[in-house]
Amino acid sequence: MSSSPQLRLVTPVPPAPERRELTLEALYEDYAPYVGAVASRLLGRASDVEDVVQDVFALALRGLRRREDEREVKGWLAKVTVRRCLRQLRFRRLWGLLNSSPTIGYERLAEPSAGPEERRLVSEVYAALDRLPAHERIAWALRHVEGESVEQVAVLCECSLATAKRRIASAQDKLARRLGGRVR
Amino acid sequence: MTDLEARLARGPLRVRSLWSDAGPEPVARRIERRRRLSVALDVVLACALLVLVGVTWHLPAVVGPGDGKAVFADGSVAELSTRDTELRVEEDTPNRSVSRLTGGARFQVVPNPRRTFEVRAGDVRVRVLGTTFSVQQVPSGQAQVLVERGRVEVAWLGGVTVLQAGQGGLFPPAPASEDEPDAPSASPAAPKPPPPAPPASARAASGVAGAEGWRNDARAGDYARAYEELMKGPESVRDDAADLMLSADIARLSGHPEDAVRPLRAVCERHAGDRRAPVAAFTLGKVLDDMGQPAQAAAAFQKARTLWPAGPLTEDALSREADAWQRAGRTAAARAAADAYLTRYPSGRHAAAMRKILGT
Repeated sequence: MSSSPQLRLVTPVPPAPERRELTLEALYEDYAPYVGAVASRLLGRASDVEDVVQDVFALALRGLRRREDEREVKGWLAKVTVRRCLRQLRFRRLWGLLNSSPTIGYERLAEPSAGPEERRLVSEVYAALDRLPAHERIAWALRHVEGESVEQVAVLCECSLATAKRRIASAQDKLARRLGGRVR
Repeated sequence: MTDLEARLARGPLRVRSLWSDAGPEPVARRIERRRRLSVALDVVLACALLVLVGVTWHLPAVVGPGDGKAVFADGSVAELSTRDTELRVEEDTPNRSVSRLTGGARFQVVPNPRRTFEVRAGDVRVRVLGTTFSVQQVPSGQAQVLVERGRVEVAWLGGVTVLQAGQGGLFPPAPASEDEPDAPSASPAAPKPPPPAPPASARAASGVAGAEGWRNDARAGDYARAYEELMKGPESVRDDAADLMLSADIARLSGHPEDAVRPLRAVCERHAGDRRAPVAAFTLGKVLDDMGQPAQAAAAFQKARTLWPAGPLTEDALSREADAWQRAGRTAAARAAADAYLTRYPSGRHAAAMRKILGT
């Protein structure tokens, strides 16, 4: 009896992922929406968001050239975005001291699907955030708007876990005091 | 619980992205334009900062009548002695300070071996080696230099010397006064060169063998060790103004001001004609005041201004005297000193305090 040819299950080896060339256009296409969304939640103003996105990508090519793993790219972009937002907020505060421009409203900042109560709350929260120190505002927004873990907030803010917790708690206290008129 | 806390308990706030791709212009061009703008802004900011630093540190500043005092970049202070004094700070950088003085001023210089502090008065240049000292131009065109603490180097056309604490003189020195450096004078004269060290045999015979130890320690700035050495043989202090002043400095600067009283008093009383005597009296006043003896302090300040009526310490001595008399409860004496101050320095640095004593 001739033995039947032994069947072997051959698992196809997936082809090695094609390494995409790291060009500015490619980076921008892939990540600009992400950077823009993060900057939006941290800053709340469209004009600032545009500046930050361009600043981040102006830095990106040089900063990312050394990074072989593209998985690092998103983390690097997030960290640089946070850093640029911090700078933008400080510049905004300095400019506010010199220029008595009228207060900007945040009525259209909530997601379109949000109900009127949420839209009102988002608007009031961002108006109150404008009066907080920049580093506290950033930490709070990363935690409660971007939805990052406290550990990730510490990484993105380049501070210790304790400092991140302290900043978030301080911002929360101040916001609660400013918005504390309505206690349930 | 607030609305916000209740809302956050359900998850992050829902905020939309405000970013939208800006249009048909290639991203590289937009970003390059942004980068150039950012570089240009950085350059402008850096230039503005440099200009600001330059203005702060390099441009000459003039302190004149009515300003009272000048504070240098490193915290050193110059107090102007007279109403017509002018101090022009020609350079004030982290490494070097150069001022040109017309009139008189007292300088308190923050010790810093890496920084040169120089005062020019006419043709005389005083270079500080970390100290408190006074410079006063006199009608003859000379500059009167008096060192309270530390050392200064004084240079003039044709000579240079180093003055120690308690030393002073007129510069350029008159040739006659250099011939008799040890002769006591009614007013401060040219500086004495350091006395030559006596031969070892003479030192042994005089019972001061090894006594150079505390002097050397003091000259090296180690006042604590100098005090310890001095206490082992206090009889090694010679009864001359220089040695008495040095022992007083050792006591004060090692934290034993009470032991400075006796040598300072000795200089004032037994060497009243010596050029160091006014400084000794002024220092004695400060020591006694710090020790809580305002009446004795006032008498010492009075002595200081009497010993050198036109000296650079007179204004301070007079105001301190009035203040000390006041605190001692000697109202009449305080009022007399305050009145004397205002007569002499109607716009002086302490005029307001003196008017307060007079109740005007």
